[in-house]
Amino acid sequence: MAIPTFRVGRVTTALVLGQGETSQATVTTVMARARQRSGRRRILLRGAARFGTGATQLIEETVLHLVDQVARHLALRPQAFDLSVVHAGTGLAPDQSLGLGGPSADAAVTMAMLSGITKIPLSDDVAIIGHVASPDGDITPWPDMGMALDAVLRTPDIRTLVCPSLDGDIPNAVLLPEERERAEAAMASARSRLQVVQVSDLAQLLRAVLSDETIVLGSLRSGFFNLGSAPNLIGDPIGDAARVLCEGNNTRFGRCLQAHLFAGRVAEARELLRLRVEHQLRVKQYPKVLGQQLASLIQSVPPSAWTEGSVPALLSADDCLKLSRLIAVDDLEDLSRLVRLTKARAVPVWQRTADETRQPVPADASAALDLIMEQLDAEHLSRETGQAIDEARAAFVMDRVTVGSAEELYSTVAAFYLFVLRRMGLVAGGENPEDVADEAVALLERAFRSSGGVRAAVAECLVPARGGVRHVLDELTEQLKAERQEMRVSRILKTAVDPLDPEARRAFMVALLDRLKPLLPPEMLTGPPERFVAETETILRTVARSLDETRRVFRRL
Amino acid sequence: MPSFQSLMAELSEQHIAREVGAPHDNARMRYAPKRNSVGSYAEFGDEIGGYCAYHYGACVSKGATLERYQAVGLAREIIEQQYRRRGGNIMTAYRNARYGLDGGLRAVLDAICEGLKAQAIEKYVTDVFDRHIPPDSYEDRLAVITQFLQHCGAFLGPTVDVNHPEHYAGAGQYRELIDAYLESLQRTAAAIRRI
Repeated sequence: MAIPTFRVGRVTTALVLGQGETSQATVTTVMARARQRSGRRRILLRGAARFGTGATQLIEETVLHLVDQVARHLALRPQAFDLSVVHAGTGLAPDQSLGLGGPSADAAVTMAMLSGITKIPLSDDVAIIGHVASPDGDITPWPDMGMALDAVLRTPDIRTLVCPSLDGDIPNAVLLPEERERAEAAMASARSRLQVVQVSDLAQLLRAVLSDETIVLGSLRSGFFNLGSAPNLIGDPIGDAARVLCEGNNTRFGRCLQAHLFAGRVAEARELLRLRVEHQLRVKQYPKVLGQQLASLIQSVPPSAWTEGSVPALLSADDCLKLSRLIAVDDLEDLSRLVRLTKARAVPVWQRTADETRQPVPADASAALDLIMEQLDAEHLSRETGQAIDEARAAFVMDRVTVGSAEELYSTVAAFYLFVLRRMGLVAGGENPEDVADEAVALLERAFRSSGGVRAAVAECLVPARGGVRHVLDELTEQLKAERQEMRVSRILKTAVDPLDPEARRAFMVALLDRLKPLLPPEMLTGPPERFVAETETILRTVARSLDETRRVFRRL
Repeated sequence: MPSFQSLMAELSEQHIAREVGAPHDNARMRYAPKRNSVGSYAEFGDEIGGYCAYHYGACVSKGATLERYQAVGLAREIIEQQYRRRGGNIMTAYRNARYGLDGGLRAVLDAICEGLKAQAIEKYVTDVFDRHIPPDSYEDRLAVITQFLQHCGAFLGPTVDVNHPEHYAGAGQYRELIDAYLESLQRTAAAIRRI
């Protein structure tokens, strides 16, 4: 399989040429180059590209309007565009033109123009087809869609197809039954070979086509990186599309940097940071808490990812100096963290912060019981305590599953533990990573207590038999989840039961026995409920566990 | 014909882990899904198919890719197998991935990795036996199998009759030994490490 190439303003698409029985579809690349506006004409066709009848109007009035609207939301200036098409390999004679005016090209032309103006690169292994049916960016099928789908299917190296949705009423309105049938058949074939994403508006198109990395690169180069969320865009279809591009870019930036560092791609990480600095200098704004984010990220990178044996310099001293001119007094400490990144070492700092909010316990015994059972539900507990840990484990990648020494394993475990804490929002700043490293090794000891202790974990990673480091990190994950879940369960029970006076405890037990009445033998129900009060916690844990097990069985069926 | 010592060396747990298991673990370790949950069954198919194609390309076909339908089909088959052992099925895997339960999508991808690894180990062990057990001489076959049972019999479980090597010395009849050995690999791995 060819490695996909990412380029600005180039979109792979299928064009349907000609009409009626002589029509044919061909896969090609649409290119849009954004340039400064000069003169009245904002769209110029270059090379073999030609507009069909009425197409100039469609592109200038609908597509260009759409692109301008998105650009306005991103605070970008409207631009003019040179549109062209790659002619090679289309099977046409050299003097034959390629029509960009047909409905098949609308979505691709829109995407190419948006890419051109936002500088967001696009992958050439994604093919986009679809008709832009309104100035709000609705994307719909068109009669020849089946033909375009077939052409995409015949083309090697396309891995993803983004096309109009065939669900809902709109396809029925725009397609004849036989056209719909052909499109559905082609879609079914496509699904067996490609990843198919169906979209019905511009926001969905952007989500389907763009990755975190490409949006970050485009937004840093074009300047809309820091726009953030804009509540006034909600509900407006074009605003929704703009939000895809401008919301959460700081988080995306962190994720991309993390992916590069974990994969040992230091040069890419440096380039991303350089672009970020360039952007911040352009907008004359210091990147708040960037130093803190980077310090904690670096500490949580597995040691094996640092291929040179030490944490390399990620930021140039010159860039750091330039950023220092933008700081306010509050940013001094953060800047000092950035300064540390200019040398081949990093001194991250860590500190635990309090988490978790408490829910008041209702006064009524039956309501209290309901609340407790809801909180003790395994799925609820898993959501509350396990999911963030699983998310963190899923994102922690390493290049190999062996270590060269016990010390390397301890460093890896510490990095992983810090990474999990960071993902859970449990660390912010501080000065002593050793404390957290000690906690991490203690966790390792507990995780392997029943299977040979830390010595077994080290042996597994030196000479893997069950997955090496991967197995150790999985065990740590399960241990951490189990411990946090147990902490949560204990807290729920202590908060609910401990503060109750004897009378309230009795009432609580009565409510519990009443709930379990149909399941218990009669002799259990005849005696005073007080005899069970001392075991309230045990009974509640057991009931919750058995309910979970029952639910689990039913779900399997 | 390779020696009995080479048979035992190639069947050692560490050798298998290093030569066959490690590439699978490395491949899994390098792969991070975008999220640890999925929004729909279609997305579940894309995620498991995407991972299966990646893993297959990295460890099995060494570069050649699977069509999407092949990748999704293979992934479903492995997930079904792996989850059945734990009393579940593919719907358990989907629900876990959908709601982020029991490890979420991460655990589902782990199951695919373990399935492909188990297939590779099975093929490897079968090949080692095939290369070391002479196909054309009953006496030679019996000699190798007798030595093998003397050496490993204690680990092979109650279904293997260590006192009657001739039961396994017929042409192609050592399959039962291969299965028992594969099972013992899993069973004894943790214990051996604790010694």
